[in-house]
Amino acid sequence: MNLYTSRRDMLKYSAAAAMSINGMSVFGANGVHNQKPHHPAKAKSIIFLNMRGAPSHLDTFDYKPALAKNEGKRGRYGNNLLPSVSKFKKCGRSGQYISDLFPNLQKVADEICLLKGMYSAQPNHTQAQTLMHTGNFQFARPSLGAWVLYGIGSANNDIPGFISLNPAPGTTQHYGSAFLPTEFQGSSIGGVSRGRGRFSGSDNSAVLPDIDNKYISKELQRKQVDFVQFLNKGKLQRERYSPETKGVSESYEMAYRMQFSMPEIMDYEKEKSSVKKMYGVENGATQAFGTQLLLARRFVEAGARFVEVSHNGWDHHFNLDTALSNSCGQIDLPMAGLIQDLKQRGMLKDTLVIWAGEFGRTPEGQGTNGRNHNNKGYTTWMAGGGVKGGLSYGATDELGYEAVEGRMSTHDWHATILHLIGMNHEKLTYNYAGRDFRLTDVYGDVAKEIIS
Amino acid sequence: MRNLGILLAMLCLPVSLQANEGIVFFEKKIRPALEKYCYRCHSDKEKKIKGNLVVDTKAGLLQGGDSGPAIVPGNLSKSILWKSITYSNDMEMPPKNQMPDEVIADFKKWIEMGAPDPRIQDTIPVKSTVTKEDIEKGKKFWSFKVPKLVDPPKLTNRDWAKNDIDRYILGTLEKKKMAPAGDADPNTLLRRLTFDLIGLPPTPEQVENFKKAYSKDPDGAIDQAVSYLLSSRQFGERWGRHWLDIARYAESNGRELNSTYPQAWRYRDYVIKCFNEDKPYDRFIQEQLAGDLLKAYSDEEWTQNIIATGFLALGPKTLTDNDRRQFKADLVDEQIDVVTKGIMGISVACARCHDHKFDPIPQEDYYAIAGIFRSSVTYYGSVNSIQNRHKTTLIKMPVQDKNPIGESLTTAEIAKLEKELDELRSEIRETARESREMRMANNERSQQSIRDLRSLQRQIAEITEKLDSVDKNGKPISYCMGMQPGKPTEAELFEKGEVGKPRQKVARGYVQVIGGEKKTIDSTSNGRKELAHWITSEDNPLTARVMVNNIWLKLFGEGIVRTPDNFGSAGMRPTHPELLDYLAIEFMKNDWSVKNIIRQIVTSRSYRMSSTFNATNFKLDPDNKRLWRYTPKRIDAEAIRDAILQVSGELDTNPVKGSIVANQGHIVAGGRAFFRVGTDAYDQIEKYRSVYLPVVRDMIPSFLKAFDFPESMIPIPQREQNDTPTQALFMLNNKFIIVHSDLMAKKIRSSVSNRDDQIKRAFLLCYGREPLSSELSASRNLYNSFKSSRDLKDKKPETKEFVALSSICQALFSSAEFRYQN
Repeated sequence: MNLYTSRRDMLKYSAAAAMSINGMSVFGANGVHNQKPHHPAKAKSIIFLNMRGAPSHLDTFDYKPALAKNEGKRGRYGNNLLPSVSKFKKCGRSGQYISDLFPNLQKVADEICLLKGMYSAQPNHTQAQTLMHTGNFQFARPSLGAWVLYGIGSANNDIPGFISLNPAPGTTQHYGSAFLPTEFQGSSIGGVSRGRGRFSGSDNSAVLPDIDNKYISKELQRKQVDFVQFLNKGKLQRERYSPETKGVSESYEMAYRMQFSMPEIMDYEKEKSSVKKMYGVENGATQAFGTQLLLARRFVEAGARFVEVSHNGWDHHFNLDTALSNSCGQIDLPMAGLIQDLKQRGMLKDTLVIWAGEFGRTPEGQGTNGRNHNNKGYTTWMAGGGVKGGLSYGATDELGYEAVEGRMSTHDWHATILHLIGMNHEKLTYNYAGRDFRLTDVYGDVAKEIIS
Repeated sequence: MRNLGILLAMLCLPVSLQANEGIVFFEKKIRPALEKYCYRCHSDKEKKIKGNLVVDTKAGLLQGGDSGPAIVPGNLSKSILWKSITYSNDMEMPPKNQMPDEVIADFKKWIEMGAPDPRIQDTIPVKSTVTKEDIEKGKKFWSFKVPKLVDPPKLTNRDWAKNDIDRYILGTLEKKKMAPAGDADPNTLLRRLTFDLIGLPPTPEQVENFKKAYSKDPDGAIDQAVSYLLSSRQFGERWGRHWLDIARYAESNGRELNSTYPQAWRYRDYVIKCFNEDKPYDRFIQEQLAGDLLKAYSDEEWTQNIIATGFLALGPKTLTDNDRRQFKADLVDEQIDVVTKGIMGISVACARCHDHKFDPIPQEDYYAIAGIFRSSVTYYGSVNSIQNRHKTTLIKMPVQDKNPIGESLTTAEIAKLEKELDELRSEIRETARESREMRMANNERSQQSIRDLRSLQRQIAEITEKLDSVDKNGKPISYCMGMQPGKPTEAELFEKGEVGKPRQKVARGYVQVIGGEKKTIDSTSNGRKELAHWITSEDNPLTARVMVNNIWLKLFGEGIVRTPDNFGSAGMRPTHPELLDYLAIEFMKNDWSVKNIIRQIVTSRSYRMSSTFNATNFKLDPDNKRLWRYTPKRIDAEAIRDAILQVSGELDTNPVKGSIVANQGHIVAGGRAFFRVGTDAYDQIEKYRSVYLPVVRDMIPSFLKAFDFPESMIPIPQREQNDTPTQALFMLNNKFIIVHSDLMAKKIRSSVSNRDDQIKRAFLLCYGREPLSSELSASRNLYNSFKSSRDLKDKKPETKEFVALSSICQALFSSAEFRYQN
């Protein structure tokens, strides 16, 4: 039996599940309590770096010398082919190519598995982002993180199991649970929902509203909570059977503990300065993203199963050279830092780091210094969590228009992610409105070749 | 007959000859020119279609792109294509070099001869897998048959039932030899009634009076309370809100570029008014679907009818979508979804891409209804922004507000704005010309000039909107969202739902498997009125059933059909089919009166049952499907907040005029202007009923959000019911809760001086009952802990006593009993 399916975890999980369901036997009968891994898992948690706006694969991870050779020639869609705005380097022992826009990431190339044959069914940002998060661009479906949590349950009852840091406006569906019980819904911290504002070490009042009572001490509050629980207990005894009262009681215990656990985790100031440096927490350009990655690691360390961090501004229709270089500069050091930090803590082997935008960009230019959307071929990557580091899997054609080898759709990508956490995407189902639903609907093939 | 055919063919000959001549001209001159000069950016075969204009089909040219039809056959001056190729508008095409003069002359000739164009795509019709037999068979499914009255069963226990509802309920129980729970005590009952009907707790005085009356005559006391509550203005605020859940009511479009809908509140007020007036439900639906087309007997009524169609306009939308066809298809899809799922409990939207997987609804049925909505124009407004690709105007209301919302302008201000507008317009012409030159010369500064252009466009749009918002005297004009008839159209069926794959046209019509009176939609008719008629006709098997089920579920926590938005084969079967049909028939028989059905239900013995647990019954029926007791239910978010306001003495029961969103005009939710006014914090400041709080998608007030308020993206007849740590943290630490605990304590202390009496009063206000002795003593303990605590900042004994009582009030708010109704 591996680490995270221990009996203790299962018990915790059952408690969490029971809390949300109010004793409605419709869920109990569904087997939520007994969700077991379908096969031994490689990863026990996931950090998903969401690059909103679709980064260019041709200037980052998909090296296309043919583009430079054919510079200025007319492309498939009528514009001139545009060579990469950056140089590429053969990196590490594996020798895979990574752009010079990622000097730090180049150093951990051997940990990274590049998926170069990705394609998406949707060419527009909104739909493609929704598809990437939920497997369906049209209807409200549970998000990837919700499915993960539904599949493997929470590892720590004092914190949410699924956290979305800094989500963009209009994206609640991306961390929603749709028809899955809300227990599996992501909790947003920062971003647009309640608690906007910056993440700042010890003072988290802006991003964690209501986590603290400014008027009374914790001792007095404990007495007050005990009194609430006394009232609840009395009601429960009088009524003999009252799952909802039990649910309320348990929510107060977890809430009380969260008042200690959450600020504790969010207070990254306690980290050694060498660690903070790795993430670029104190450096202007990398501060925002670095802080969130450091927090992501701290949440995963504490037992969160799925942490998403969003980074905006990859829609480079214009000013590709300078804008792309800026965006890369904001994430390069933090990402390399995250991988190194996870590794030195022995966490990389069971933490899956995923980097992905919703699609890629065209080999031909848009104007002279921009690229248009291209959903037919692009690159994402994974690291740790049981994937083969240093592997380039799949390929686009010579110019980078279309995935031709190791093709991976959004559904394949989802199937692979679920596989890594020990879940068979065809068996991870939830019965809703009379039908068994899956993240991958009726599609999805696991890319077995990338699994170590 | 054959001769006649030949004759006709001969008559047609000259015409077709003429047409042939045109086609030859097209093939020789126009097609090559289009290919050479235009296809590169305007062909369906290309990935990127500029300005949403395709010129490689006849339909593409006639439909046109973002700027409207490219060609109006026979009319040069109305053909944008002509203006563009002659460089006489600001869209000079082709952009780099003008076509040669002779080619331009060809286009002139071609347009004047009526733009003959043979490029009519042959479409291969998508064939449905659903056969006529499937549909006929499908009509036998329980929910597609019209409701039928079955007499209630004979009962062993003759004393229990108060009305027919009870006879059906008891019949089911007796079949399984189960006994119904006894009556709830009057405290519980009044609390249940008040929360259910008006969304507020009863006052201690009401409890007292009710108990007195109940001890003498329970039925009479209940009747009287029900009459009082049904006629109270708060009723519409409560039950209107239930409808707003189904109508996915919100004051912004949600999604990226979340623009506010400053006029949406008019629809909210319309709904509240309808429920208070007990507008017949069939009429209520007709107004929302086709109010603009109904006969009105006064301008006031006309205005209300138009506002009602806001129902179809206020859905979520992706305003940033680059693809006009996709946007239009999604808009219509959303309307189909809210109408079919929300009103008829059947999700026809599933058939957008393929035949319905579970019910015999072919894809063509979807497009039959899509054609109806495509024949109308939806007016929802939205913000001025370059990113907004789909802004519309709004509908000017026939009767203007007496005290209009919005800024007035003086005539001097109007003149100034008009002057500014003129200047900007000439500036933009100049900038556009310069920009074009720079782009042609590949000048580095061309990016900057594009940005300048956009900024000018924005300024013009802003000023235009400002000027449009007032009449010539500068007084704000009242607008609303809603529907207006457009050009009657048949929708093309999209293969796999993809807008790029239009196939056969589908005649407008209805869902075949669902009965009801289906009037023919003639070619000049808009179709929505016919649609509304079908949905509300008494032979429609779903509409009445779905509504009575929704009413039932709000009163009992679960519907008779426990999948209230799915009455199809993938949904659940009714637990009491005969009762459901009885209620549906009663509903229609009594002029679709919502109040009547509610009265029948809440005066039944079934509703009066206590929630007392019974182990034997529980074993037989753990989900309480047969209704052997009243299932405790969580009070809705709004009712929890309103209850706290009421017991702390702070509730302002006056209806709110407009909405916070209305006062600010169109802005982007989440933008700087929005946060400056802090809309998401209004639940903290305002003291009015929660139904009037702003409902901006993605920015749901935190109180409501914590307690399962819906996202307002799809119809939600039944809300989720969760007990989460977020709620607990809210109750323990949120300022609103603490402030109102203090206010409640203050109010109690000003009327009662003795500690125990204060505690008793707090229980009575919050629970509608006095504390048990154990509860009283635990309260005293907490009180004393606070009183003797050294932790409190303010050491004055009086302050400590005040904080102690306040902490008890807060604990009562926090407890399960406060938020659950037994």
